[in-house]
Amino acid sequence: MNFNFRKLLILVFYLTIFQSTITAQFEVIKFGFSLNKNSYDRFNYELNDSIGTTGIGFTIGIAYEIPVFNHTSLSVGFGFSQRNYEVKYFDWPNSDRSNWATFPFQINYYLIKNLAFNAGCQIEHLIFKQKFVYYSDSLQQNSGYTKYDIGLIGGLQFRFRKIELNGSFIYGLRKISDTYFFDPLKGIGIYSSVKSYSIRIGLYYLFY
Amino acid sequence: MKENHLFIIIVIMLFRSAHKFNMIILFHQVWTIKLLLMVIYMIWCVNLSAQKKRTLELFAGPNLTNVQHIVNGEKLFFTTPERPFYTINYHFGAFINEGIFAKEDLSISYGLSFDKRASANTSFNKLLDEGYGFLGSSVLLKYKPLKNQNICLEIGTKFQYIIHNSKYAYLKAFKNFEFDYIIGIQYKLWKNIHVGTRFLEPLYIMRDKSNLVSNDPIVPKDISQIKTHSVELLIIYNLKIR
Repeated sequence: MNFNFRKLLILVFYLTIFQSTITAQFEVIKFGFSLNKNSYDRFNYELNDSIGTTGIGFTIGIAYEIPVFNHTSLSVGFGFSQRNYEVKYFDWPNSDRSNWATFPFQINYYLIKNLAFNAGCQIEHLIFKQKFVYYSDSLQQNSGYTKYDIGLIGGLQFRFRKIELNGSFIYGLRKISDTYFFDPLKGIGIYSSVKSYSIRIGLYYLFY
Repeated sequence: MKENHLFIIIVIMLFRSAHKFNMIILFHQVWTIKLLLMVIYMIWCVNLSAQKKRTLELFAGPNLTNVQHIVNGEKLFFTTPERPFYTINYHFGAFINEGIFAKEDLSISYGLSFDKRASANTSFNKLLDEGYGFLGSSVLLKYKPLKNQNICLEIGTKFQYIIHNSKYAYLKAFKNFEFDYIIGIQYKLWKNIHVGTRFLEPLYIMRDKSNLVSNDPIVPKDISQIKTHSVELLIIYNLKIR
């Protein structure tokens, strides 16, 4: 018997994706909490240490999900997010902390009944900053610290009854810090910049 | 002589074109006013079934607030210890909620509220409080997306007029204001009692309007702004009114 494994795989894939009951067919309001591993993506930095580049933050938020197509839904939300980056101030452990208002907007594609891919973008607005404002040393004397950030989101969400487990990766497109300094040894000016990214794992309660 | 004729002709042509231009503007203005009147008529004069439902919302609760100073566009901060701190304050108010466009799931709330916002600072072992009291006027659009659940999403704006200033008397407390945006959620707990949370942050920040100037006339005056924000928890009691 000529067993064609590829055809079987395609058939299983088709049945699981297109023939199953999809949870994207009803409206949902989510309310939840997520832990974020915040990191910096540094460009033109000579220091290779990890001090001040990573930390654990959190987000509390709500989202409203509305079905658009058979397997696809759209969700818009709002969250209060805190970013922490571990730093050392002389010998004391310390943290660079900032609070953000986040407005995520994403499309969810349901592979099977309870599992969905999501992709979208997130606008983050800096509400409050307690420490370490990064200044640009340029002649224009502009602030090096951004007031808002736009990030791309990609992730997975899994639902069980009224609980949703959500994991996502967010990469900020805007430069959080943009500094310039003149290196006297090399005789050149160096522009250094930083972008942020985070890995987020969240737990949400669903109202439907 | 010919030049004079030419001049008169040009003046007449200019007058005619200007008159024509004015007529076009006037014509469009008339139509704009008519359109505006029609919209006002549609909104205010049509007998909507949603007008039957009108409730008075009395609410109060704690709020988590902070105050941040911004000088010349830069946020002021202290390295260590961290300050200013978030503090728990209070807010209360009364809104009127009524349905719009004859839809059950869409309503509008408007009313007045008092909002206390403050931060705590530590300086030379002294605890300094910086607090502001605002009288606010809000307009909120409420949307109830789920039919089975009594959950309401709300978005709106709030005009906040400062009526109490604990620290900076020179800020002319009675001549300062801010415009906030509001995002919130409400959940029906039991009968007429709802619980909810709202986030408020200014789009237009309070500005130091004092006449204080530096001793050195060459040095330009610092532009000082004060940004407040608040996360409110609410307990709401709804009363049906006509």
